Order: sequence, then structure tokens, then C-alpha cells
Amino acid sequence: MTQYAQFDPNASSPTPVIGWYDTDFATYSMLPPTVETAPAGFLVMTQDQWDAHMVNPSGWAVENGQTLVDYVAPAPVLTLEQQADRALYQGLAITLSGSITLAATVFPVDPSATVKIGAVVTTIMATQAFPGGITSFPMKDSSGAWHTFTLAQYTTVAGAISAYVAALNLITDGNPLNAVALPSSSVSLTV
Amino acid sequence: MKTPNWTDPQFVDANGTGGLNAALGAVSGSIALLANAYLGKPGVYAPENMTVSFTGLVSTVTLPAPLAIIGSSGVVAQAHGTLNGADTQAYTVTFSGLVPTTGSIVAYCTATLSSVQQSAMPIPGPPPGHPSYNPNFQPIVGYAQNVDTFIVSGTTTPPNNTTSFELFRTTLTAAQTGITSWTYANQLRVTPYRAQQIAAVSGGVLSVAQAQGTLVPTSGGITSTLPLSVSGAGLQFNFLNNSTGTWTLGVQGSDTIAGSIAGSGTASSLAIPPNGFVALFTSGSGWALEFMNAAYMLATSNLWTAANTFSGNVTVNGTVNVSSNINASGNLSSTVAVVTPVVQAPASSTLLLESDVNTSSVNRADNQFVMHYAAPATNAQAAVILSQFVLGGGSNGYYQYPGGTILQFGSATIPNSGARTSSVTVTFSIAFPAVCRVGITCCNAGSGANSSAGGQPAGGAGAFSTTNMTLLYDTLGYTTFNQTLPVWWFAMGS
Repeated sequence: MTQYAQFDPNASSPTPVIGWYDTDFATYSMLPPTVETAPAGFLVMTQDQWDAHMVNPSGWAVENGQTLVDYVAPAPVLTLEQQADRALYQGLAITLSGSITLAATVFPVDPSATVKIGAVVTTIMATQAFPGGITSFPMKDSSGAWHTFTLAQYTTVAGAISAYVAALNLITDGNPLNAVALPSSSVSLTV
Repeated sequence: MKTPNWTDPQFVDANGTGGLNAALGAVSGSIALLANAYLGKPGVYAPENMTVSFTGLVSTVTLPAPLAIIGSSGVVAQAHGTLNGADTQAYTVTFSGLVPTTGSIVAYCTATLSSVQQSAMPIPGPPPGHPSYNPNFQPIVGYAQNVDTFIVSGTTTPPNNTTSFELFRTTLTAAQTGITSWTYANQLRVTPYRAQQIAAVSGGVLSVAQAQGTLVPTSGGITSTLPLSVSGAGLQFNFLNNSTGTWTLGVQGSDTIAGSIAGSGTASSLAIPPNGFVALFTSGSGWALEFMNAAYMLATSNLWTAANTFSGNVTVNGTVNVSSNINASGNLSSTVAVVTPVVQAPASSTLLLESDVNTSSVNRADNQFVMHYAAPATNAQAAVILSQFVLGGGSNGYYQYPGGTILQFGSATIPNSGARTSSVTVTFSIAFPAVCRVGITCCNAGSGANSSAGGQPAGGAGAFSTTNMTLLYDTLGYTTFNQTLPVWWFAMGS
């Protein structure tokens, strides 16, 4: 017995292989070359299995403690911080009513988009008008479609985006307010 | 000056019918036997010429020439009966007095060296007038020759194989009144004298008489069939193939030739290469290869199941299939086809060839590799040949330097996390015995970007253990991982 697959014998089957050992190749303290019986958590491998494991050493599991099978690791569980980070790139669904009717539409909230919106809002705050003095201004949604808003409509939408991004940034920056969930990724506004 | 007082052919007969030749024949049993020097150590010569028949418990045994007995004193005797003045090869042997009252016994028919007088002639008394003349003297019969012969008898005493020899044996049971079976298997035959060359032609079954010398083929490429072993118990056939073709020997019935092929198997035929010599022996149940010369061995595949040590230079030509451990001391200087590259080690070092050297492609996928190294990495005296450190093609592998440092490499896939960071834990192809010291990762530039927006993120490796490490990639905020990202990794440890 010279080659082994290591697994967690206490985990539910199939158990991912967490280590590969060849006692002909190297000396391992827990696997002396003269071992007669594989220790718990180690499965003796055939040469064919050893050759096969080289294709994808991370893609194997032990089934019922006896059989090597192909294995696809489940997607990792994201932390709240990672979820907030991901949300920044998934956008905010905005529904408008009142002076304008807009069904739920996803607008980008990633840093690139918010920089552009911020530039427009900065002008509005300084001049009470859109850049160039025009009376309406377009905003692109996540699908690439443009929506033209009045000054009041634009600032309302921009404000919702800003509030959403700020809440996400607090979480990604260390969550000082100890949020336990992400802010809602959809909002309905009346303007 | 001395001169002979006799004239030819008074004592010397050129035709061999009298004189000294006749005298030599008389003491030796056969001029022909001596001339061909067929005889070896004591035993029965050409016993296959014997015929045996039974009437009840009385046997008639006929022992014609060239059957002979050679005793331990060198006396060679042929059958001449047991009566002076008579010469016969037929003997009557009775076993009636040997039948036991209870149970069973083994009875032997033996030939015991003896002599008889022959060439009778009358011996008159001294003539009248002689001082010893006796008018009452009655002429007597004298004999001119003493002839070696043997007595044939039935006995329960085993022969001593010096002056008496077994012709056959049988088992007698209480109240037995006839003998219907007997065996010749225990005859002690005169050892063949191999100088006698017997020509063998192709085809046919060899005769037991041909076991007395050395068989040589009359031409190359002939075939011969051995007699049934049951009829040739005690025989030894010697075959010298002095032709340029292979001489094929076969057997009859269920006979086999033990030890004639590699390993411990038996075969029903045997091929003697040119210049090959083999001796086959039978005890009455199948044939066995008794002797062979180097020419035969060279033409025979060998499979040693026991550990073997070769001293001196060993040269291997052709394909070498290595299926298990080979330990070699000294210098290996030849290129072995299946072990690439040249393996060489200094004198007195130990050289280990990896056991997973297999010419079969079924055991190895295209993206795997096998590493060969000249000596255990801990052997400080091992020679290192840089050309030995060759990696086979593949996306995962490991590699060990003398001293124990292990390098590993592989490929992995960073998952589509949807976030600006993504990570994966990779399991090493082989666990580091002690520690993983360094891990490095980079994007596979030939396999696309981390997102549909393009770009390749920064990556790093961490969380090292002896069996795995984590690869972490970060877009630094310019986009997210919205598709998987193929990457490479590299680790070093010991």
C-alpha cells in the first residue's frame, strides 16, 4: 500500500478528498511505508486511480469511505461583505410614478456609473440646472436603454441610487453599523 | 633376441574369430561394446531388448544382445545361460516360492553376475608308456573358455547394484497363482556414454535404445517425438543440435516436459536452437529437462520469480518492460527504452527506478506525467543528471529534487462569484510531507478574462497547508467575476 486519498471520515458522504499521498515518493509521519492497514480517513488507491487523480486533484471525493468518485465542489457561501460587493455590480431596480411612470427598471450602481451620475448631480447642486442648462437629462439603465428625466426626477433617482450605494459601501467597508442584511435592491419612488 | 614361437593365425586372427580378439571378446562380453565405449557406471545396458512372459508364476525371460550387465568390478556380461557347455539367452524364472502367506511383498527378477564354461573338449589320460599312465583312467570333459554371464532369478531381496541388478519387479499377494503385471521402472540402467552419436531423422518416435548415446540431427529443422514416458522409465535422452536449424521435440499422450519453459510451467514441446544441448529424463511419469547448455538458455525466455543478483557486467538489448522494483548497484550505462532518460549513479549508490514505468498507455491519461529520479532524494551521494528532470505533459504534476524539495503545479478555475473578488481552494496533486512554503498563481492569459467586460484581475495564493492552498483573485473594483476564470498555480515545499 503506497498511495492514499485523505478525506474527513466524519463528514457526510461523498466527502471531498483533501489530500493525496504517495509513500513511495515521500515519507509521511502518519503513513509509514510499511503500514499494513490504512489509518482512518485514508483510502488506499490503485495505480490507475492515482494516475486518474492527476487530471484534476481537486475534483474527487470518497463515497461511503470506500470509493473514489468525481466531485464538483459547491459554490462557496458569500459573506455579507462579499454579497454587498456583488450587489454593487448588480444594480438597483427603480419603479417611478407620479409625473413619470416607469416600471421596475434596473439602473447600474457600480463605481463607474455612480461617478457619472455624481458629475451631473454636482452641477445641479451648483447651478440648479443640468449641465449645459438643458431642461432634461438622460440616464442609462443596466440594459443600455436611456431614460430622460426632469430635474426633479433625476435628483430623485440619483438620490435613491446614492442612498443604496452608501448603504452597501458601509457594509463593504467593515459594516460599522452592524447591518445584518443588505438594503433592498428595489425601490418605488413618486415624483 | 627374442622371437615369437607362434605364427599368425595361431594366436592372432585378423578376422576376429579367434586368437586375441576372441579372447578379449570372451572377457568383455562384446567387442562391439568396448569398441564404441558405450558403457558407463554399473547397470543394465539396453534392457529394452528384454522380453518377459509369464505362465502362472513362472516367467520366461529372454535377454538377447546387445543387452548386457556391467558390474562394479568392470566385468561386462551378456546372457549365456547358467550351464557349462551350453549357451542360451532364455531363462526360466519361478516366483512360486515367493508368494507370501499373508499380505503382499515386492518380488524382484534380478540378473546376478556369474560365469560358465564353454567350448567343451574331452581330456584323455596320459598315454600308455607315460609314467602317469593309468589304464583305469576315464576320459573327462574340459572347457576351453570361461564366459561371463548372469544368473536370472526371482527374489524378495533387492539387488545390490554392484553384482546384481533389477530386470523387473512385481507385487505378489497371498494366494496369488499368476503374474500378469510387472514394471521395468526401477531398472538401473548403464549411464549413457555421450560420445556415442546417434543420428536422428525427422519425424517418427524415438526408440528407447536411442537413449544410450547422444542424438544428433541428420539435417536442420527436424522434429522428433519422445517415446511414452511410461515405457522409458529411467531413460535419459541427450540431444545435441549441431545443425543450423531448430530441432523440435514433442511428446505423446498426456506427457509433458517439466521445466522446459520460463517459470515453473511444463510444455508439450521443446525447441533446441542451433548449438543447443539438452538432456531429458523420465522417471516413468512425464519428462523433465535435466540439463541444458547456454545456447538453449539464450533461446529461452526466462521469468525469474525469485530474487536474482547479477554480478559483473549486465547488458540488456531490446525493449525492457519494468513492472516492479529494480534495485541496481554499480553503474548503469545503457539507455533503457522505457525509462527516459539515461539513468546513472556512482558506484555503491542505490538507484531506484520508479515502479510505475509501464509501456501500456491505458494506465496513463494524456494530461498526466510520471517522474523518474536517479536515486532517493535523501541519498546525498546520488548522482544527478539534469536531463533526468523532465516533466511529462499535463496540467497538473509534481517534481522532486534531490534533497526533498518538491515543486508542484496545476490548473484551477476561479468561480463566477458575481463579486469583485473570487477564490478557490486547490488540492495539491501530492501532499507535501512537511510544509508548503510558497504558492504563486496567475491568470491563464490564453483563456479569456474574468468578466464579459474583459480584463484580468490580480491574484495571489495563501492559506497554505501540506495538502492545499487558496487562490484569491480581485478585480480591484473595475468589474466583477461574472464568468469563470482559468488560472495556473505553482507551489514549492518539502
